[in-house]
Amino acid sequence: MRKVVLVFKKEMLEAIRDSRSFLVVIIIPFVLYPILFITMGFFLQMEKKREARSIYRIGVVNYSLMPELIVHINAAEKFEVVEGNSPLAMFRKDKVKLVLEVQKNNDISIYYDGASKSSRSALKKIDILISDFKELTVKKDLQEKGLSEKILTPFTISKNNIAPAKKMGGFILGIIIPYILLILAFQGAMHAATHVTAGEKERKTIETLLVTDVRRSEIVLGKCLSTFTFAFFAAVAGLLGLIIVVQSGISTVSADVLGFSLAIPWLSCVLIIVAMLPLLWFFSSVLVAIGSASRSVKQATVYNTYCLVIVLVLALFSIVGTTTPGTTLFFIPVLNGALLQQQILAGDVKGIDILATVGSSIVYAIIAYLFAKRSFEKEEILFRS
Amino acid sequence: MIEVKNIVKVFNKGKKNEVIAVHDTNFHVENGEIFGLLGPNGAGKTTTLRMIATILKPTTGTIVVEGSSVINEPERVRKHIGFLTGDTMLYDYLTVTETLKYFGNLYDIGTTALNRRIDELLVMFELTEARNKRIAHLSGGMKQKVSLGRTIIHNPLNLILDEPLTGLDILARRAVTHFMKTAKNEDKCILFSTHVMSEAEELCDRIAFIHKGKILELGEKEMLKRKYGCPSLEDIFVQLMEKQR
Repeated sequence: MRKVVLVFKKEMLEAIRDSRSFLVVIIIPFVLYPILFITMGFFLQMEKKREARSIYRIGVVNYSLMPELIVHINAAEKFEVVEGNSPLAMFRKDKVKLVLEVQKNNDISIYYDGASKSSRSALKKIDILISDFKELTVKKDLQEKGLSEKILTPFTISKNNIAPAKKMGGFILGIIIPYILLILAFQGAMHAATHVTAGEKERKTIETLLVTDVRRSEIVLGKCLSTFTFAFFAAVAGLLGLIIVVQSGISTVSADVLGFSLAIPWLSCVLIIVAMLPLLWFFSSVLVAIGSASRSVKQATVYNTYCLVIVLVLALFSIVGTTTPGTTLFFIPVLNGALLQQQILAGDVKGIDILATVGSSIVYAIIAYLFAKRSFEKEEILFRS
Repeated sequence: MIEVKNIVKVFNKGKKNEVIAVHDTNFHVENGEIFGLLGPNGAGKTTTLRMIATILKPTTGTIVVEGSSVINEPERVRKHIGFLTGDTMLYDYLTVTETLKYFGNLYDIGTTALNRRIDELLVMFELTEARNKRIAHLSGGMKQKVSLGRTIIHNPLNLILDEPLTGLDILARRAVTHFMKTAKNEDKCILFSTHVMSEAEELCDRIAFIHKGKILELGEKEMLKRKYGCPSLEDIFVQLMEKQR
């Protein structure tokens, strides 16, 4: 074990002195991602405000058939109404966002451009106005006929969210945090693994190490440990960066937007990182194996990028894939880590899911490590040219 | 002492691109001698040396270093060898002292003995002033001196030097040749490969000419010159090549 520590310490010393490591472990997770979130939040909020102020130019064909509707639309002060004869020509000629065509039987056809964001936004707003107008018209008719407008609503529906604000916040954070953490951890591991394997081959220092009095298994373990450490610090820095952004309330997911405050309890942070450990070892071993089998840094980077895409897809599946994940999903690497983090953040952790995630991740980590060890021990892999 | 018996190395065995890099090779290197492995690029010199250094495994045959087999006891063999090639590099981000300390620790040298050995090597290779400089900031010649220091940090009895003079300037070359001669005088066993005949002429006691993985001739330098009636090793090599055709 002493020699494993020696190899590990040397790899760490080299990595610390390499300015790119600082970029991967500190700048990207701790500074770049938070800045990205803040900037995105700023622009999204600006866009929302701009949209709220926007006045859409719309066209109306057969204006005279339903003048009350046009009065209703004008009263909303969100639309500038232009009269015309041909819906399609009006898009081109009058630069309108949508066109309402009133038929003789009082039916209304709406023409809009599905490929235009502003046209779709105008459609959403006009839909609400027309529904309002329809309701008003029906109420007026009922009053004229001496009937109660309650006929329209025999019963009302009220939706009450019983989730406490804390749990709600955890649910929202569960969408963002696992995805970003997994990517950051993988990127951190990618940088370190490439440096200590394919990089070592390319810099021609590998033979120097192989002829010393160290077993190859000790070398692999030292290299996996340094890769794991990088992945760990990238994840921790990423989590800290996200905590700062989320709790400062300056991101898109601020309290103003959601209606409740977001907070990540420190215990959840610790649990997230602890639950990630086997997955980080799995990442490290896979990447060390790939790096050892690669002929050059360039080749290793290409293979690692394919792996990153797999991680991205699996992590994304945790967001869009399912509403109530079954335990089987907790056996799928990466996805299980993301799903477990979601549970931790929502404060709704199931024992069986922890067991499945941690247990399967340990098994995958061991298999990946044995594979990395084998790559390092096979001369036809290590010295392929 | 190094003993190489009937070694064969086949790459990609049983595959379409199978290559026999070393054929049935035999030689031994005594303590207190410099044995030269001479041949053009691709002759099998590096593969042979890598097998002796335990980096590659022979397909068949045996190699014994200081009584230990490279196949069965590679860890023991590594304790007794120092391996240096012309193109092996060092860690750019470590300083000279850190490099020597790292490799010394890998050989389990105690702290006091290691510090003493590092000081000794820094003086020997005139690196004292550069001891705290990072490898990346050293000249090619100085890097090769650090590599030599790294190779002998554990004071091995056997030195395996694969084209150690390649690409060196005059001063660095002098330092390496001086080091080899000193090691010989210290009764070390030195196996040296080169494709430059003049280097072998200057340094080696015995020589093996190797081509396409086969040893074509082996013997004492002066004896070979008499046998072939040639004034230089280069002429002998040309004769051997012609015979092959």
